[in-house]
Amino acid sequence: MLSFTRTLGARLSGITARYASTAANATKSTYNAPASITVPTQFKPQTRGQGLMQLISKEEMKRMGADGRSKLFDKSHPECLRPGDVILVETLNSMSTDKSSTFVGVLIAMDRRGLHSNFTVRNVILKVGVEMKYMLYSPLIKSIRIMKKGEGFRRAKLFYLRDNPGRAFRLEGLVKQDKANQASKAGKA
Amino acid sequence: MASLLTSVRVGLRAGLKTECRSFVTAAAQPATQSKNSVRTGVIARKKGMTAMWDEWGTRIPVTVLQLEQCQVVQVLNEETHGYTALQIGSSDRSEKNVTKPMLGHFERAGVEPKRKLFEFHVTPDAILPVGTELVASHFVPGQFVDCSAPTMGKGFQGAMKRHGFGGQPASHGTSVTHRSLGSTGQRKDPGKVFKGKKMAGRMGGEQATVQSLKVMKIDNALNLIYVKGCVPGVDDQFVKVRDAVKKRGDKIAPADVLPLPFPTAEPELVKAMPRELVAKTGGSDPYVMKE
Repeated sequence: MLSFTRTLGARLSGITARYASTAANATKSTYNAPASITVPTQFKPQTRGQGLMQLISKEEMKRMGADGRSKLFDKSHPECLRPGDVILVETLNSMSTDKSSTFVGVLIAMDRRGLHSNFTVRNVILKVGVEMKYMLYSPLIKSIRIMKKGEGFRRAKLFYLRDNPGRAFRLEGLVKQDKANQASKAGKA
Repeated sequence: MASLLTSVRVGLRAGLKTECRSFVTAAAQPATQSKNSVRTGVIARKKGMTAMWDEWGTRIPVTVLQLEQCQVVQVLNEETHGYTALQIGSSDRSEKNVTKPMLGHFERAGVEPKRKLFEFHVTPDAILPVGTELVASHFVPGQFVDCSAPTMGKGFQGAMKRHGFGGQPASHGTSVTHRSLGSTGQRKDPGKVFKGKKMAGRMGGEQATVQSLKVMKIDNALNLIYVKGCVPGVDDQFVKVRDAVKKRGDKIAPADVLPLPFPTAEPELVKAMPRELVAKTGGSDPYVMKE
């Protein structure tokens, strides 16, 4: 029989903790997630001082950014990305394979939007300008590495590089150096 | 059935005793769920939109709907009302903001005064006792739902925006009528403009139903339902959420989560669930070339 009937005295607030059964209450019915449902990393909702949408956005960022990619967009962190940096983005081709693709380029735009933070990387490949826009918290992004810190860029968005690239996209030397570094690292390890 | 007929003493006004009555007798309520059974919907509040990534790495826009003290307020049955339905109420309200007739209505049910009341037609086997709280786990990740709500108001709008009319050319001599209706009828016969002629006027603020939205995630602690896609209306809007009418039987949800909780989720099972449950998109990896 349904025992959810609520008396006026016992207010069932919207925030009741119902978590997976522990050993202590093993006598209660257990829940086994079927194959079409995933159980993500669980957090305790911290509802004080922030609204609902902010709360769930932060939890999702914690979940998707467990590998520490949030620091790349945190201005107070020494390893923060800045427009003008030359970065290498490694993306998985799909979630079911380990094969990945790399894209090297100059970071020309960073948009801080919480969970939807994204950045644009530009390079000139075989005389064709190519821009790639990546969502920071996408699970398909394997790693983001800074190959060279940008110097002398005084704008937040470097869209002027589309018309006035200067020497900004001469990156072959950097790529070679990075490959050598990676090989030597692999050799040491 | 004894628990269904438990009386709830209401302390709103001294000296008044009311009973929480279910109008359904044992004889009238069949025990089994059949393929024609229709269970109740819920009233949720649209909280906003966000995005999530599914198991294949595809980004999915979702609307967050929150159930706020969603309870059964009245049971309407065949004998007294001519049809079988549940009146669901959502969002508690303070007594001082509720009219006396409505206060009496809520006292009779033994629930806190509610902001919004909607009816959901159900089959007699899906009737719930008055006072039952509906929670997010009434829906299952992976199932399809219909969401109904008043659309965003757009104010007084012209025929081009309101009805998708084509307007007139931008140049070639058109004078001052680029976005107008054009003709509104014939000539001497019929000699009038028909009623219901599509013209400029107030747009929006009407009920719209978006069908077959997939439930991507359920949050048991905060009573949230994440549906894939858009839901009509503004944030904090009251939205009626029901099982999709166009997905009958086995199509409403993946096979391993069927049958859906009938008539609603069992409190013991909900307590055992983890806080958040996410639906899988299923199928094969869309980023892998098929042979």
